[in-house]
Amino acid sequence: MRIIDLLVSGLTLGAIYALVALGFHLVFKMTGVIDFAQGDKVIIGGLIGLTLVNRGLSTILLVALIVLAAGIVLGIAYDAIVILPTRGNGPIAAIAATVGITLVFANGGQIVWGPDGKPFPPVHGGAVELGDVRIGYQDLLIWAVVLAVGIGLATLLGRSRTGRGMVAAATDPLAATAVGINVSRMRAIAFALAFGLAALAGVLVAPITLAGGTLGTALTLKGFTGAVLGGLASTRGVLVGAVLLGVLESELAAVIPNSYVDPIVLLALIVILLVMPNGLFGLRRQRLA
Amino acid sequence: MPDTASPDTAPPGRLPPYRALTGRAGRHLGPTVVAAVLLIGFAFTNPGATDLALGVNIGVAAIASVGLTMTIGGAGQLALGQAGFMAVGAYGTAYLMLDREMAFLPALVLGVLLALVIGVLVGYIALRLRGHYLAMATLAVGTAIHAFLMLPGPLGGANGYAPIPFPEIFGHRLLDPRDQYLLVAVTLILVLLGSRWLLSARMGRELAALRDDEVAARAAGVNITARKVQVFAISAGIGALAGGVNAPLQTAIDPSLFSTAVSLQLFVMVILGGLGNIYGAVLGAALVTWLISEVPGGGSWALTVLGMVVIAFMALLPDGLAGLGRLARTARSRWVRRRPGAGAVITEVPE
Repeated sequence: MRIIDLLVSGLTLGAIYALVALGFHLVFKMTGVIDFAQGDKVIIGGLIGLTLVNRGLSTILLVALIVLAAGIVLGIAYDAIVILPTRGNGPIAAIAATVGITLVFANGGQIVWGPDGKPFPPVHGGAVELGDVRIGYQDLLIWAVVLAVGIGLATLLGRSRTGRGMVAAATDPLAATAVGINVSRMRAIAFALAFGLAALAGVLVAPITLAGGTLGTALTLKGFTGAVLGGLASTRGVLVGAVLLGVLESELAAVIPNSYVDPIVLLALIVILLVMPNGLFGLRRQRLA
Repeated sequence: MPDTASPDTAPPGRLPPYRALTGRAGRHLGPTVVAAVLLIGFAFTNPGATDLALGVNIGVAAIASVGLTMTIGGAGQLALGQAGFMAVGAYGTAYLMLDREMAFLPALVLGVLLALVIGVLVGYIALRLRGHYLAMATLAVGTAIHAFLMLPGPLGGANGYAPIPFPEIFGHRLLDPRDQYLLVAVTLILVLLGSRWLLSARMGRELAALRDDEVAARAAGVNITARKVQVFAISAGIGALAGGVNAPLQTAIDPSLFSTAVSLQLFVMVILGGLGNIYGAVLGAALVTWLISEVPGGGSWALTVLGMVVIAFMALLPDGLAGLGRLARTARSRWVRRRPGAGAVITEVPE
């Protein structure tokens, strides 16, 4: 069954988009900034993983955890160096700074690791067979990671003290400061998670797309489309929207030639922004500011 | 035609309207004349073919980034898809010249018109989206145009489109590299003149009002809808002009010349030059293009460093290179002209 096979690859694609989209969601909620380097963080994560593998680290699960940790550290530095200093310099400054870091990631990555994508080992080769359907262990792992991240984030944001502090800081930084929440720490956590999850996605997706290469901006656009489809302001919406986009994109390839999928998704992004800017899970109708 | 000379709009105590107009035109012509002398003069310093080719690249990038400055700096609307409009102009002109055997100038005009139409559509998108969302949507437009050109079809897909005949203007075929450079230089000068005129006329003031406070501008009677759509159309048209002039000079074009990376480079040129300053955009275009071609490593090193420079600028000097001058002026007035009233804050009205 072609449809089922495409569903499997679509879910995997959507899961990767979801990890990118969650970063958009966290950073947007906390700072109102949409980070144009979000997709390039994935590439950087994959490339850091590649270096670890080349140094002889053969347990890919360990590589993934190290990259996640490195991404978290990089995320804190990212906020401190790129985003925070632009505060108070007008609305264009933050966007321009993220475009600047996109150039640094994309071209710096090419200097350090070379311009072409490199093969990358999966965490676990092989596949399970369910009747006619083959599901790779890598696919299962990616789904499990996204599920765990989704549940973990929902629990963190909804139940834990830190998570509630993050929600409060995102909703009204001034009021949050007044009740004793450390807003800049909340901000750092959001950026750390955004970079960490993207970097993790980089290691997970590298066996499929190769590590490195020039897919960063494409991932930025796809992840953002997924996030907006579900509703950028809602954690659940972002996850569902991104997975839905992955599945739709994959199934679309059954109907039309593959090369037409990308332009259609890009036009869909514009239509979504114009027609339903709050996405499928938007709470109320409002103009995007 | 903007009604700048209407007597009831002239504030009291200023020059009479007709004098103000001449004074303004004269003042604004200065930098353009300097740019024209430099650009045309370069062609007569006996430059080699490599230098002229670099000059063509710089000129084309400068035209496109002046167009982008109109939207980003002039109207404060973040657009990140300028390379897409260059592609429309380039492919439009090339298709009409090669497949339809049209002459260069009419083909160029039609290519620019096509981009104007697409620009109007993007302008309508800009009516509903702001800030980051508009930036993402325009990035998607540029990337979508690139993706459409990658499709196999009459325009050649990823393999490119060739051979485009050299342009012929009034019976003179531009085969000499110097003539080709002069074509780009003259186009750039005309674009500078036109943009300067638009920005200093009523249109530019309304755009600045729209940029600084949309609600206040609307309250003051600025037609927001018309201005936004117009500025996106003009910006797209200028971008298409850059692409359309360049395409026949290169004889072959392919989608990689108009990728998202090129859009981001054009954005960087505008940012470095200082938002809203068309001469700054020309300097930014020259700097970025020159660095990419001269620094070894196929542009990787140059773009990495430029990305860092953009980050530093956004943290320290959000006005770009133009901000350096303002900073110097502030410092001078603070240290040199210490006299009564020197501490007053002088609010400059950006031109």
